[in-house]
Order: sequence, then C-alpha cells, then structure tokens
Amino acid sequence: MNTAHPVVAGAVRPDPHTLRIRLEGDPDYTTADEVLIAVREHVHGDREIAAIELDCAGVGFCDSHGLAVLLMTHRVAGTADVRLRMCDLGPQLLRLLKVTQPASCSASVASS
Amino acid sequence: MRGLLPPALHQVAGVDYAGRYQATQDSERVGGDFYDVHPADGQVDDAETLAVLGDVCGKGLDAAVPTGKIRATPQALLPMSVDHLRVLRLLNDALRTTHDARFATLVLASVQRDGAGVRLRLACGGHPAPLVVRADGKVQEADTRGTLVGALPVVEATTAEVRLAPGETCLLFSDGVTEARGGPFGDDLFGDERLQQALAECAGMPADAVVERVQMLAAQWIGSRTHDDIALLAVTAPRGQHLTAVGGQGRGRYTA
Repeated sequence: MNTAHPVVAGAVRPDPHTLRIRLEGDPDYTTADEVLIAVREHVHGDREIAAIELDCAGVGFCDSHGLAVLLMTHRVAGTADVRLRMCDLGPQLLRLLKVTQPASCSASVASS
Repeated sequence: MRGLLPPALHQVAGVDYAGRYQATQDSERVGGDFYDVHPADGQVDDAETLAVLGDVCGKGLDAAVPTGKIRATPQALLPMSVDHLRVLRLLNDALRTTHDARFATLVLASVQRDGAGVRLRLACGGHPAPLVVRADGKVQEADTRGTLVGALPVVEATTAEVRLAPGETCLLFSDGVTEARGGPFGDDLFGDERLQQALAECAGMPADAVVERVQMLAAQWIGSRTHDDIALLAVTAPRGQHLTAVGGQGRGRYTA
C-alpha cells in the first residue's frame, strides 16, 4: 500500500477565484478523507473561491472509498456554489469513472 | 449478523449457480460485498431468476446497515425486475441520504433457462461488467454500463443480453478480486487481465469449479497480505442435461 504519500500535496491560486489542489498518491480507504477536509476548509474559509481544480496527474490507484470521498467533495463544493473540476486524470482514475459512471459528475471531469 | 451471510447456492430452475465470499480480515472494514439468488415466484414458465452481486462502500459498522437494506430491496422489487433501470433507480432512491456519499455498486442478472442453454439479461450499476467464459476459452466482457447507486440524483444503465451454451459460464465478481494486491513483487494488482486469463482456463468447468479456481488464484496472489471483501458468483448452463419438463415440481427427465 502506498499510504506513505500525502494525498493533498499542495495548493496554488492561479487567480483569486480559482484554487488548484494538487493530489498525489493513492486516495484510498485510509487517506482519501484529506481531500474532503481540504476542500471543505477552503470553500468555507475563503468566499473568493468560485472554482476548485483537483490536479490528479499524480494520482495512481483510487479505491471505492476514494471515490466516495470524491463524490462527497463534489457535493460539498456544489452546496457552496463552488465549481469542482478534476483534471489530468490518469488511466486508473479514468477506468474507475468509466466503470462507476457518476454521470452528473463526469460533466465536470476534464480528461486533458 | 447471520442473515447477512451469503447463501449456499445450487441449481435453480435448470441453471447452475455457485458463489464464494471471502471477507476482509481488516476488522475496521465491515464486509460490504454480497450476492443473492432470488428464484421467481410461482410456476410461470418464462419467469426469470434474479441474481444480484454487489459491493457497498462504507466505513466501520455503518456499512452493514445499507448492505442489509440493499439485499432486501431487490427481492421486494422482483416483480419489476423485467425493467433493470427501474430497479436501479428505486434502489438509488432508497439508499440516497444527504449527509454522506456512501454508495453501492451492483450487477443485476435476470436468468432464464432457454432450451439447453441459458439466457441472461445483465445490468451494471457502477460495477465491473460480468465476464462470459465461452466453450472455446474465449472470455468476453458483458456490454453493460450504468451509474453507481445511492450517491447521485440521476442513475442511468443499459441492459445487455447474453446467451450461454451448455458448459458456458457468466461470472459476476466484485473489485476485491481485480484490486487484490500481491504477486511476486508484493504490491501489484491482480487486475482484469489476470482474471480473464484465469477464466480462459476455466472453459467448460462446472460453476463451483470456476469460483473455486478464481478464489484460489486470488488467495495465492494475495498471500498473507490484507485484502478487501471478495465476492464471486458463477451462473452456468449445465452440460449434458436436456430438460423435458420445464417449470414443474416434477422430476423431469435428465440425461447425463
């Protein structure tokens, strides 16, 4: 298990309304909650933020618990009127989304 | 908790079923995988048996509650199982809560004996598609996709129809098999390809031998490491049996 990696590896502000959170490692049963906690803190702590991008380039394996947390994160952001977008998804994450088909979320998934 | 254990399986309405369930040994994770076979009610000749295999995602003791709920619901919905999308949408509504994004993924299989073979209608709700093992060893993925249930307002799914000749098997499985970590380097996934290879070698085997073989290979792969729940359900068209009396409780005539 790759639990030694931090899942939330950093955050930058490309512009005042956008927060880009870099994810790294394997968001799974033991580590995925970090993503939700980070997004929750930002959307509630900073009203300037209108969009959050989850940079998934460094994400490897994501299990179903990781997916549950991503779905919850999507919901928390939506409730706060913040647009959540996942970008640079790797093959394992794309496959997970293909199998589970969270259609209403996939609209905000960019497979760039 | 006894009621949550998977059922012992046998032949139902001229179709063979066999299942295996390997609970995770991680005490914090309550078993979320399940399978059930619901025989059609009554003596209707063209009635379908509903087989369900699924995986409920949740932490700790919480997971056992929706597992019980999601296992009871398809049985109640059996009369409408002709419409898989409707069943998945009703399940979605029954499981959806506002305070978390816990969800389940599952496969619905409506199964019917058809002459010497078996006809299946398969629908996935966010679950890996079942694999069909042909008599010649070819392994095919059933062409069904759908949304996971219990977390999102909208659920879509497509139903695929599959026909099995005698000796052919359709395997429903949870991602506990394909996502099992192990192997010679200790941290590789068992993966889709290895599962398909294992199944190719199971061509022509009876249902019980297929699930036994896959479970054994996964156990060898995992070794002494921890793993998630693993559930397997084989639906097999029996070999060398010609049903001459269908649907009755009488003995019928079987030729070996």
